Amino acid sequence: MSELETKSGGTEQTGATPCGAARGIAANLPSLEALDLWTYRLIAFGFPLLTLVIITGAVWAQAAWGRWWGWDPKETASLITWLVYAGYLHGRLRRNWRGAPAAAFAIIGFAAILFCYAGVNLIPGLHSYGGQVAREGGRMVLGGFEGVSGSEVWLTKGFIWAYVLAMLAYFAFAATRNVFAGKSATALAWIGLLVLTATLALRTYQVGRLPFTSGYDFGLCFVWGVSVAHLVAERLLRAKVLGAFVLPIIMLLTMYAYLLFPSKGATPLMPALQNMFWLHFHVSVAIIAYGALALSCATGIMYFVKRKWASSCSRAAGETQ
Amino acid sequence: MPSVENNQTRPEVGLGDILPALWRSLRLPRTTFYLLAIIALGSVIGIFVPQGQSPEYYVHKYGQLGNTVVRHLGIDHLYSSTWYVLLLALLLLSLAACAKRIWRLARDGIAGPKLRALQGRMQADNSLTSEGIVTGDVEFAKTALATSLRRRRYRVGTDEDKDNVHWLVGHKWRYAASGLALAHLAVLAIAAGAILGIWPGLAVDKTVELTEGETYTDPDGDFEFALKLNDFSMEYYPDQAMVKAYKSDLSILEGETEIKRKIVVVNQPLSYRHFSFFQSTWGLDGFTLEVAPTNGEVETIEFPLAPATGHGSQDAHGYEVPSADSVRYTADQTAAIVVRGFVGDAWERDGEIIGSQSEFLRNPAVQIRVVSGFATGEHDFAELGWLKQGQPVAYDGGTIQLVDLRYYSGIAVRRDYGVPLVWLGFVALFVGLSLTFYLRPRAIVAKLAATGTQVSITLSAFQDTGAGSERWVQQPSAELQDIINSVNRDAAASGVEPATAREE
Repeated sequence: MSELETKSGGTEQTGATPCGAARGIAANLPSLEALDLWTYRLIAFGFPLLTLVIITGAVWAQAAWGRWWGWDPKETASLITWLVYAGYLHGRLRRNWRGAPAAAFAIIGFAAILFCYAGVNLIPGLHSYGGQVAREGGRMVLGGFEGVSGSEVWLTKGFIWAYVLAMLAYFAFAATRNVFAGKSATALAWIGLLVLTATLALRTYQVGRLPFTSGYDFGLCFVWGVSVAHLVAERLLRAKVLGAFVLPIIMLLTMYAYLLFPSKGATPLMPALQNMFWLHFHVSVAIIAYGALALSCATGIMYFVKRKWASSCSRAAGETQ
Repeated sequence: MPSVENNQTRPEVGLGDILPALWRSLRLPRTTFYLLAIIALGSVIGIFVPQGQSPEYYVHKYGQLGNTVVRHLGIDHLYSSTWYVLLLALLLLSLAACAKRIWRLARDGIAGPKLRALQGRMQADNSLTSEGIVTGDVEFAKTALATSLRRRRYRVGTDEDKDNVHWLVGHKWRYAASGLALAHLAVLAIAAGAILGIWPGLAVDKTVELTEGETYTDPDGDFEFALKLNDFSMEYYPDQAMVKAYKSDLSILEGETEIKRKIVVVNQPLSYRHFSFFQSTWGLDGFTLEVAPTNGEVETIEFPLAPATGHGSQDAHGYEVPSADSVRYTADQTAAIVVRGFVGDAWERDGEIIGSQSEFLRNPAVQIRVVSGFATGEHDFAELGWLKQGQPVAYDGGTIQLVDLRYYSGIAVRRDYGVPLVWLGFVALFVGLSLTFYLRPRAIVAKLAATGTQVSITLSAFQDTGAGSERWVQQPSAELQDIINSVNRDAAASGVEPATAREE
């Protein structure tokens, strides 16, 4: 038995009532202690890498603009993210934080990452190449496949549908612990990752370098990072139920990339980005760090789900018996 | 009820009491935490409120009251405002106040775990320990254990024999305990580098705008050599409205001698004597017309360009010839050239230029009129239409053509002595955090108890959590059973009858 997996007990978890289903999901989740530990481990893994992302960004900014720090919105947002996780680690190591505050910090930290990644793009600054929202006649333009080849459209639709189905299968597994649902979920998540990898490979082939240029490019890479981190974690922890909480994050990121960037074609590198070493180093580390920290958000959410539903539904069950 | 008179007087609190109290509170973990939280939340404001704008901008955006709040709280220059700098200073002070404790944590960690501390925390939990029995004497078992631990890169430290119970401790990666101190020291180094980078008299941070051919000598005396912009050009991606490169051909001159020359582009600065010159901004300064009459010398006439206001010549997607400068006379004063329009990227329809299709300067053109006949008083107006770069238009038997656009280049000049310190801090920060979170010091405690011809071995694994009074935590490890098996194999190889290893 793995560290995270817990034994399912009895038939109560497949109950027909909402509370029964909720209790079923909560019962299938790992123990609160295990979730707390893994949230910490994921943050402890991601934090030095997040630091490296900021460091490589600063060194690159020095090479490009002659200042390693300029209080640009993206830089400031990344510092805020770093401070949130630094706060978490100080609380954990110095004040022995456990449980709800730690889980809340993991969620807040990832929200800060999302703000740094997506929110800041709405504010003008040096990092405006991160992606601007497309507008037409003052109205936001959403979705579409402008500028991409037919084969890429099919590949993109393929991984999106694979992730949608994987998410549903993970939900079914979390609620029922059905073995077939679990196996299907993992298989679909792998298919999604493989098709996404093929999409990125096609984009790499088309531009002759890793596709790290536009907001859409990084959106796909972000999804790829979270997807890899999820499947590695699922294998290492043998915790299939993790997928029910990570796949919604993957879908959120996928929909963000799909909807907010109607023009998905390859874009040439603007002058500031023409530094192949730092571009590849900075973005690659960001993909790994964000992947791990997205997972810590998922384990943080799992903590609250476990805590709330396991206790309240047990009480409800106790009262009706 | 009798009244009780309180004769106790309030003790006087002086600066001598406040400072130690402040220092003590800075040492508290919660102070660090609150400071981190306040700085994080405070920084958010600067993301949403545009920095360094004019009062009119804030009045327009937030109203009079909003502008007052923004300006009084220093939100318009948040990251250099007094309160923000004070918060950063407090964070550094709190770090300094914690230095002793951080140092002690690192020192204790590097010294390795104390056997007594580990003994006290050793739980007889079967899921956390591995046990085995070896046939032979204690010395043999200890040697075999030490060999096995060393093979796994553990340093065998404490060796204690008491009441017929023998103890052995192996520890690994104890130097990783220095990571915490290194990471905190790194933050101080980065802060020191940042302060050095803005220190008056040492730091130079300015942008100079040079037109093509201009030589710049620093009026502030920050550097004694001269900087010359030989040429500025822009390269575009083919078929894309996107600039590929801004190129400034720069020279460093010592007197009249050219010391260094480089084409500076974004990401490739020019460095000379602790100074670095970066491509920062650019702009259009004007354009040059060449008038070539049938008889006489070729004449060049320069017109200025300025950011469009809508009051000058025709709107040109960003640039225009100011009204006051739109007329230039030829050298002999017989004709006047009037600029009626300028476009940077000619937008043509049915062979006619109808405007500029982008803000880029890929296909510039000027619309001109020539006025002559001043001597007779009978003015003659000749509409020459649009002149494209390098395409002469006939006039009065000669030609007029647009020969060149004149650019200026904004070169950022920086001298930052703090950068090496910041780089050192960055390396130390990453190494320190990696040591702290990726290489946790580990220890294995072996308890050996001899009974007759057999030695019972109990192994426990511990990991350093990095801080706290109970920093060493016992945890399960698959390594323990491997060590037991290894000792048994050694026993078998030495001819001692092997005992059965078991994991509880």
